[in-house]
Amino acid sequence: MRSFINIIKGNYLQYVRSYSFLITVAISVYVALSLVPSPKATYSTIRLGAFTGDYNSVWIGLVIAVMASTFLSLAGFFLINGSIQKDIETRIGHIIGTTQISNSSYLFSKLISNLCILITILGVVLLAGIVLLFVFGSQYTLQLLDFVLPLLLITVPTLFVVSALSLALEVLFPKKRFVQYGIFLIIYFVSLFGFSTEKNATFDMFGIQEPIAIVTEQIQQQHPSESTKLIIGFVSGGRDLDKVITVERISFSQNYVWNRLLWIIIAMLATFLVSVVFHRFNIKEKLVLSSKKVSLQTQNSAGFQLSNLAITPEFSSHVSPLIGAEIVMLVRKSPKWLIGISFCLMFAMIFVPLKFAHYYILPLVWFLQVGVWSDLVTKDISFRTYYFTASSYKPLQRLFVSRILAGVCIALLIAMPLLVCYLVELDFHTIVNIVLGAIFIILLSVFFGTLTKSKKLFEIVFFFLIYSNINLVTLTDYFGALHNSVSYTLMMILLSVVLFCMSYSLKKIRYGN
Amino acid sequence: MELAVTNVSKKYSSKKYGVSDYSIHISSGILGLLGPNGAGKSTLIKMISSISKPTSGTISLNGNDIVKSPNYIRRILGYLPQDFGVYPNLNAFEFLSYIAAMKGVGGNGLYERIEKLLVELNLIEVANKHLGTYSGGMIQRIGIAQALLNDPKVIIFDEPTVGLDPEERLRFRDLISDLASERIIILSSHIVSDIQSIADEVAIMKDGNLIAKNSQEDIIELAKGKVFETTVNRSNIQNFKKYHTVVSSYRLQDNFRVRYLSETPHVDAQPVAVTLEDAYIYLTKN
Repeated sequence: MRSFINIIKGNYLQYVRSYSFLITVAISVYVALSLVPSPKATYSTIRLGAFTGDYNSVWIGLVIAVMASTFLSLAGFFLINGSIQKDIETRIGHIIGTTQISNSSYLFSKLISNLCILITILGVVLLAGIVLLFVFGSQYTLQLLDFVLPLLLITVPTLFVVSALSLALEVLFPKKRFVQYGIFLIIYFVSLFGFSTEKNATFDMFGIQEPIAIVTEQIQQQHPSESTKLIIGFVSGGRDLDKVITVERISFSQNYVWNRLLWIIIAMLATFLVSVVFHRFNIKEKLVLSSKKVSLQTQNSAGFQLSNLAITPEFSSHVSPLIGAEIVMLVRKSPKWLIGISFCLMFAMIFVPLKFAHYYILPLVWFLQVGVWSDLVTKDISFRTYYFTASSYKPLQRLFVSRILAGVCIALLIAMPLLVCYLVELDFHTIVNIVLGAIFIILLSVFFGTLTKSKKLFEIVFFFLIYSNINLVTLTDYFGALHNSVSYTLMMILLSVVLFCMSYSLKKIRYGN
Repeated sequence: MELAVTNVSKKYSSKKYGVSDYSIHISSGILGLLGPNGAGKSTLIKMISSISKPTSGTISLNGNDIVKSPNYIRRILGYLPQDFGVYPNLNAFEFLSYIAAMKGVGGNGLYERIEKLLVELNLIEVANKHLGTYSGGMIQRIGIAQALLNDPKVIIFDEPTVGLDPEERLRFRDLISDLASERIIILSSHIVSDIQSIADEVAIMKDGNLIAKNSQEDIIELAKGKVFETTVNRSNIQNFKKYHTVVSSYRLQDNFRVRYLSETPHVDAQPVAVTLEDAYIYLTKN
């Protein structure tokens, strides 16, 4: 047991001591603050028909628990996914594979340490919620149980399931990150929209149905004829539009508690089951021939004869070979099926209505590149080629810029069908906005990658961007779908310039020149 | 070629120095850099190869300050790091072309040079395969190839023979000897025999300081008359090791033949010819 705890401790500390975790915590605070909108905010997070709760411990606790259960579980998956992959990359897996630890012990230690990471973030969110209670709800006192109980019953079991799901997908589909993400997203959305309803309360993985039903009942007792349809997410319309009611303490039923416990047991059972097929770091590398065949003559050598290297290459500071090589690497990194889907969506952009292609298909097909773009400036770390790049000729002016240009080239290539359609319509302003959108999203990846030396932050932010883009939230429209003003274009130029300057400066410090 | 490291320090925290007030002048030829783990070899190498900056002091190449103008050395540098990786989705040819582009190397001769390098490093047969399928020794040879792409004038090899088999190791030594004319080669290694056979000069580091830099003969001279061999009974060997600096030992039935350092040898101990390894241990242990 002691060694099991030590493994959990090691996994946990390894993660929370990283710089990227600090950034994650900072973002968690920001997200927590946005979960409980200020009375003057123009959006709300949970609304029941025209009703919203007064800011007391019960309501803030419930909002945080429900939003964390639905949204932190989504972001949390991206955050903790890759913990086994990390052991493969750092080659610690080879050591672990030769120790006495059983598959199930190893996976359970990962499960618990991943859960601890998510609970740490949940703790930060809880503290932010308590602060907000004093800021927005000065007439109420803090009832700690009203804060903690919903988190324990609603959120923690969900996080348990997400941790187990992440591990199971890593075990079943090792080194196939896109497949892992795809399956998780399908499970997530099916669970959220399919089972988190009154009729399917037993299968409600997020545990939001019963507490919402209790609050709905409280509202209906006071306003029997009013609609109390649940609206969840970052929805437009502030509290000034809502009817505010005081929500009383929620008494969770015994059935509900058992149901939540059952989800924890299912998560543990799933972890145990996948431990049977865990590869234990014995992963065969596929021998793949490159698509580009180099014509090579059969030559023999005694080996390491310098005199045979008579040709001295010329000095050339052109960046075009670098951009070319970066584009090749970006394309090769995508699995073939993803390239196929991307091509189908690009093709579809020509035939669907122009606005539909712009509003929905463009952000979606860009989002499909998330795994490739997130790696733009972090691959030196993941592939341990940092020393090559840092000692290369003018790495900042040539290599760094080449990587940005390669990313922008790919983004523009993907948007090309849409750009051509707008060109036919002679809508040059929208074309400029789409080009700026491509530059912006690449620079966002570069900035987050440079700042955190990790790809996770960009992946999480990009996911929330696509979520809000598809929901047509104007604030996060970075590719000119909902804006067509000159001021918007100027703002995007300014944002891109700021992102570039900050990334360039950070990289300059890292490269030491 | 003249590389001057003058009063260089690299401070990691208020009390911890990677390298402390370090000065060394390196001319064309092969400099073997020796030192125990944590001596500061890699820190020094990273500063010379412009990957990290010294906290204080200057590093100049042919009179040009490479701390202020790192691109001066980067253009003519060939660097093989101790721990490096490759992009697994590229084949050998594509990877070397990519590194060549990073180094600012191009033109018509590039393709042929890469091909020749792959031939000389016995990688031509697998040049079309993705690097993700290569063994450790093959990756190490790719590392050597990339270091030689730009016909470098300053070459830094950090533990270059790791992963090479004995035959490849011998060939590699020949290659370095071949490279030495008109170039500065810094060869850092734990394996004294790698350095002994080829280095013109040897620098020994300990605790971030330079404790000796001279020709091999002069360094060996420092330990002259202090290396002995004797036979020790098996039951006494642990006790003997406790009180003497043992360089090496091998078993002879119930006894051990021990090579050790001492100012006052045992009566039955015989003085022996000093090697670079003896001198290295003498300087780093005392």
